[in-house]
Amino acid sequence: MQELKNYEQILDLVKNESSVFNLSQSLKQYHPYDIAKAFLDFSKTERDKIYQALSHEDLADIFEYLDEVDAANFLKELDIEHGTSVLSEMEVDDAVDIINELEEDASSYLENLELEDQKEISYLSAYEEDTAGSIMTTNYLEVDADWDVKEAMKYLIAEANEAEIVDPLFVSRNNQMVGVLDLKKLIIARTPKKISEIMEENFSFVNTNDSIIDASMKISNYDIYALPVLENQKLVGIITMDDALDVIKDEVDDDLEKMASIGEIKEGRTTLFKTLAARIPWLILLLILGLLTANVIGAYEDVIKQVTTLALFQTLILDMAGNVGTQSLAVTIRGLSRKNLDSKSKTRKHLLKELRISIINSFLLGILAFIVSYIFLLVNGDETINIVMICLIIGLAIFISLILSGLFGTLVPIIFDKLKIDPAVASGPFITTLNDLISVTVYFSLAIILLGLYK
Amino acid sequence: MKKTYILNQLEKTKDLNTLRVNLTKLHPYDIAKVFPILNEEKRKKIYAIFDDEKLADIFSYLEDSSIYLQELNREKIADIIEEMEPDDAVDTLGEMPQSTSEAVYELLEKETQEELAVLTQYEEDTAGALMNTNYIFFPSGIDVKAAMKTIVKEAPEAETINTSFVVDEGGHLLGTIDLKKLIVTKSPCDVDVIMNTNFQWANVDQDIEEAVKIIKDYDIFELPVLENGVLKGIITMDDATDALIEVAEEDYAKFAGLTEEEEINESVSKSIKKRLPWLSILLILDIFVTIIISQFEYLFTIDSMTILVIFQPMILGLAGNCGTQSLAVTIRKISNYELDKSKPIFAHIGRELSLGLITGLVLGLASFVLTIILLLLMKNNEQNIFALAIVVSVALFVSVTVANTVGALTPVLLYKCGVDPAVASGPFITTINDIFSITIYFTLATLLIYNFL
Repeated sequence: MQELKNYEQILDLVKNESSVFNLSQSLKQYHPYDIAKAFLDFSKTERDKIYQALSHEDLADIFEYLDEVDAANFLKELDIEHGTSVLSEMEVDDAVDIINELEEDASSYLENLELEDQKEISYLSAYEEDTAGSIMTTNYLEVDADWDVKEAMKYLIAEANEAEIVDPLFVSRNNQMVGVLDLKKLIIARTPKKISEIMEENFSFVNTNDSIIDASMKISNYDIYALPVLENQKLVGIITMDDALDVIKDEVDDDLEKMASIGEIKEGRTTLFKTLAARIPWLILLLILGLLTANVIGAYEDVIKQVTTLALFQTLILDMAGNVGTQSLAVTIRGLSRKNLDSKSKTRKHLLKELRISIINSFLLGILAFIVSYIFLLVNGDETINIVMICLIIGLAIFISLILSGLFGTLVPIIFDKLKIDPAVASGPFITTLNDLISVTVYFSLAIILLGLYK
Repeated sequence: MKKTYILNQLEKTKDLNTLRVNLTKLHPYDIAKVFPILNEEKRKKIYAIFDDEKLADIFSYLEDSSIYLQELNREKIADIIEEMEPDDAVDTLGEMPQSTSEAVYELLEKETQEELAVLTQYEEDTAGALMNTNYIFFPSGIDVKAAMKTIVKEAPEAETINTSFVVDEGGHLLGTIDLKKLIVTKSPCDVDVIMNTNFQWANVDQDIEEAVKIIKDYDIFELPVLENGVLKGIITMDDATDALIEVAEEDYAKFAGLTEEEEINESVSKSIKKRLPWLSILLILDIFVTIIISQFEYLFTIDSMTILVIFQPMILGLAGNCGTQSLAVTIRKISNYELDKSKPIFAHIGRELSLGLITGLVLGLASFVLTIILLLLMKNNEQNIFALAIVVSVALFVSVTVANTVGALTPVLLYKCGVDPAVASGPFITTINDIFSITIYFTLATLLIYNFL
């Protein structure tokens, strides 16, 4: 792949090129993303070479592509003045992210910035994380609704170099946003014509306090390249489609994480030790829950001794309960993170629907389980056991425990979300383990009742 | 909110002109969203009030557009398809029954037919199939003023004017030009001087996911698609966003053991169709687990050995969880193209193996202590508590290590064989790991306890 080739070429180049000038010329051919990717594999001396070879602006571009934690660490390798210059060349939202990671060192960088940059940064960092205000940028062009198209074009030509986004232009009047203007329209329009005559008055926007997920979904659903962010109807920033793309990708990954994992799946470059430290406490908790299950089964040990065949199907029932729980969980987590379950009526509707699905699925799978276990026991079982009765127990156990685990997979994440408990607790492994506990109880209790075994 | 508004309007407003005025401000996406819950009569109202261009936008947002298009006559369908983006038009035609789509195709203008023919020659899921052919290009050597004139002339038809492309006589792409740059550059100046010659691009037969990744990583709003260096089309970031979300949702769904992505407001019968197939397969697969266990049934015939059964869910559960975790990490790395070369593959598997070894060791030690405590609490004097604790903890250690490795290895192998790695869903890997763990556990019990009885 092209990307891999670039990566290797950059590694080679930086290792072997001794002239700073040649290096700066050669590096210009590569996209900052590629250089950022290679950055992590350079030694300190190699990175120093790059710091010397590239301009503040080029370095800023590279830093924007780095993970903010990495970027903050690399920034500390520069002296304060150099680092500050790089920060000031960055997109404000990216600069804010990195400054937040600098922690105690942050103030020394902030003090060195120009007053205007300082203001902008403190303005953006005032917005809470995960709100539209926190990821917006201010690099757009705003025109007045009463300007003539010629005036607007002049303004565009003068300002285009500074602005990241020139299409669309945003139209305001008396500090209120009143429309958006496709650059296409401005270019085609002939003077004399007012901006208000060619702008689109009907536009999508978000408020600074709206969630970034809402904003990103709007961008993706409506195919908006730059979504205006308003505060009291005044335009204060925009969110671009490339940022929304990253937000959505992260959000889907987060869901996968909640469902699948103990700790992070985006572990990437974290050390083995850190990964372990995150995982092991959860695993120990699961171990204890597992022993609790063992204790519960222990209470039924006499039943197993009398009918050992029951032991053969325990895993089948537990697995199936786990699978059904995982499916319900996946759909519910997705609904929660997309804010589709934010009202009582929606939640009730979802619960009822999951219950209905669980009942139908469990019924059909109960019958299927009865049939396959019957075949299995016909081939493998001895004559001393009542095959039909055992299969009935298995079928019924599947039916009941699958309904319960489906309900559990739906209910637990919703309750935890309401109580604002760390979603990692409501993860798939946790729910599967809880379902084990319920399912063994159902299974062996049924056996006692139907086989007439009493301790 | 918007949904209720649209439904209300369609219900109450009788006059079509008023209805048009009231609905015209809505985004086509919102109208497309309510389409499935309307009856045919209400949809006919929508067909009546909007022009072909707006209808084309609405249909581009619909997933099952072909169902609704059949409510229109062929001439009208052709008119709407004329107004669609070429890539959407191809999709829509492809969804219709062949006889209808052929008839509609015949009704299209020659120019459109040619445009669509270009796209249909590329296989599904390649950059060529997703690309758009409405872009603006200039011949090399023209002046910026002439370039600007071309843009003004072609802007209404073009998908985007933000990026335009400079090509040589053979149509080979030489460079890309930001509109911004064109605006600030003063004539006389050749476009060649201001164009960016170091651009990213995709090949027509490249996988869509790869093209999308280029767009995402390099923040490109319009990615040129080339065939032997000749510019054939562009992929826009909004199409890439849609493709990316679709892929991620698919991975997520498959991971959870759903055959397809499931929306929260889907009907019960649709949901069951997506869930039941995998569940049935898994049930059959679980019978194999039962068969494996039955091979060890001789263990349970001895009264003191039935205690083994009570620790089985714990061992299987923990191994299953570790396997799922390592599966999730691996699938994510594959979809980010981090596992394309053998070096990172070996590094990744080595990492997962060592993670498995260490977690297994920790869990093994913890379970050894806890198992002894539990057995003492249960006042079970029949068997050798110590031997049993050894079997449980060693089985846990080995099973977790194996499960971690299987979780990492399986998707990589599938990927290398050209199979979608997401086929290995969480539940599937868990069941596979059950088979390994059971075998390990009962074999250990046979070796360490049964043989000494």
